[in-house]
Amino acid sequence: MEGSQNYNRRKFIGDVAKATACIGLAGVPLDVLAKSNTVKVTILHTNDTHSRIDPFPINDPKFGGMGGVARRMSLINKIRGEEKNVLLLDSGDIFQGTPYFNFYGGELEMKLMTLMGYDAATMGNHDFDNGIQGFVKQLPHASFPFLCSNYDFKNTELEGRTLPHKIFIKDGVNIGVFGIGIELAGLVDEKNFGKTVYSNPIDVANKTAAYLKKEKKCDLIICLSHLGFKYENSKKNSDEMLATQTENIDLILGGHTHTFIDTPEKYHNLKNKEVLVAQTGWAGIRLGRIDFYVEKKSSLISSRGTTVKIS
Amino acid sequence: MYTCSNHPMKFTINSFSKQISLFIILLLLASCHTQYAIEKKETHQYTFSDSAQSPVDSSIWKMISPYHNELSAKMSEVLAESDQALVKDNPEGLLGDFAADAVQHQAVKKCEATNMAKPDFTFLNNGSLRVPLPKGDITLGNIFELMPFENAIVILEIKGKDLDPLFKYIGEKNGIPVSGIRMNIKNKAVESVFVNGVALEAERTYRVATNDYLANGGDNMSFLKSAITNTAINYTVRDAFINELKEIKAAGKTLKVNLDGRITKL
Repeated sequence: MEGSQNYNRRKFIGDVAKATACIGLAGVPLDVLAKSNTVKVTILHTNDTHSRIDPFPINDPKFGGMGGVARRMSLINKIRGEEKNVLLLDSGDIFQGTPYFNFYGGELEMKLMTLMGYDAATMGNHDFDNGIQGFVKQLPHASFPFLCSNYDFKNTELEGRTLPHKIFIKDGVNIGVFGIGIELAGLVDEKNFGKTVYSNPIDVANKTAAYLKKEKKCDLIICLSHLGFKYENSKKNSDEMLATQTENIDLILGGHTHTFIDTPEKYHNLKNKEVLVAQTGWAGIRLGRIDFYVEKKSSLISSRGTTVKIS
Repeated sequence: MYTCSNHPMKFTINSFSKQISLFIILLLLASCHTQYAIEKKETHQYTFSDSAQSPVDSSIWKMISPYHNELSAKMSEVLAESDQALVKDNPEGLLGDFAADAVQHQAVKKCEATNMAKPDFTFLNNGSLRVPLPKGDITLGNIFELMPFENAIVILEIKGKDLDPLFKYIGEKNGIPVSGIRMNIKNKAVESVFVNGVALEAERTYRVATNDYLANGGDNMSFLKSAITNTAINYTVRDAFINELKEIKAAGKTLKVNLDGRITKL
């Protein structure tokens, strides 16, 4: 604290020692805050939309008249008008389920997601239904990235066409988003995923989240997962396992099991920190929303042993 | 208020001078190694119900409508007319007979056209037939609803004596859609099997058409994975249904399916 005009150096050190002892913190680097305020980040999400572009037919026994991309877009636009920092994300299985996919191969699904302003999505097992080639063919219609961190597409047509993660900066808040996919062998016909190499989702998620937190200084970390919410077979990788067996993830946006989770489930990770797991059923019947209020410390200045001016 | 390592703390530490308390805050913040910390979360789910509050966005309709209209026009194409509704039933049903006969007939035609040995008989699973077909006009939309998947026809070579697990499956299911083969079911056991009018021969190798879902072990038919050969004929089950109906219409005929006792429960 050399040069600090307002302090008697000796008194200061003594007070700090008292203070740190008092609150149980010691040996922390000295940073300085000039101002502090809250940033609201609004996360909107869908999963397993399954080519459901029109609402369900009125005579559908379960979901008659529900869903529909046009209604979703109206709501998204309304929320974007109300909120400054919106991220719109999807957790996979965009393809398969209506003749829109059979006839146009997912072209309209990608175009509509682009029009709605999706920021990122991950791949579900059904997104391989027309093979890797069939998926690649639709990528020109998507202006948002597909995030896949545990699929290695080396030596496939998808090589270099996906990202493991992406960092979005909203009002100065760094939001790290990455994608985790389900094991394809036994679920997807081998000819459709080809040479794609699958890696353990828990290991990859841990590594990716740690990288985003420590190397990339992300303030919020979101995992787009197509593993499925949870299974009776406790050995099968799920979002529940992902939440409890990792660190650094704040939010898991899930899919695959078509689970309608009314209020995101709360779990505690390996460091006993809260993780939310959300899923919106399927077919675009719902849109999920999570608002994060984060405390902003944008004027933190590293001060290790240098002069710090506090007004 | 902000939280760090799950310990909520307030920005006021009254027992120290203003400057000192600010420094303490700085020390706390620095200990998080991030510039931001989550203070509060709120969650909500919107459901797009029949009476959705949100109005339909007209701009998006401009993008959807060309596809929607083209698809509606395609899906409303009448492929053929049926003199009756076709539904699933056991041990034999009208829908199953239509489906298995269509696959057998179309697979034979495809094999003849491509110089491949044609199948002796066909079997399918009732689970792959998703909806009944109506009496009267059968549209392309009906066929997509009947068969939404891209399942392909494959031909398996299996010895007669190795077909026992298939007959066990048929017995347990109380019949499945078949074509080119006849049998009786007694006490869940299959007996008196005839392939194209000839009693099943244990040492003969049969060529059997089915869908790739079953051939790859779906519906617990893992025994099919040990077939001598498994050959895709580049023909989806749905296309076989579509072409079968189109041919009927082109011949100026109406689809007439009759139960013929191919699987009979004794």
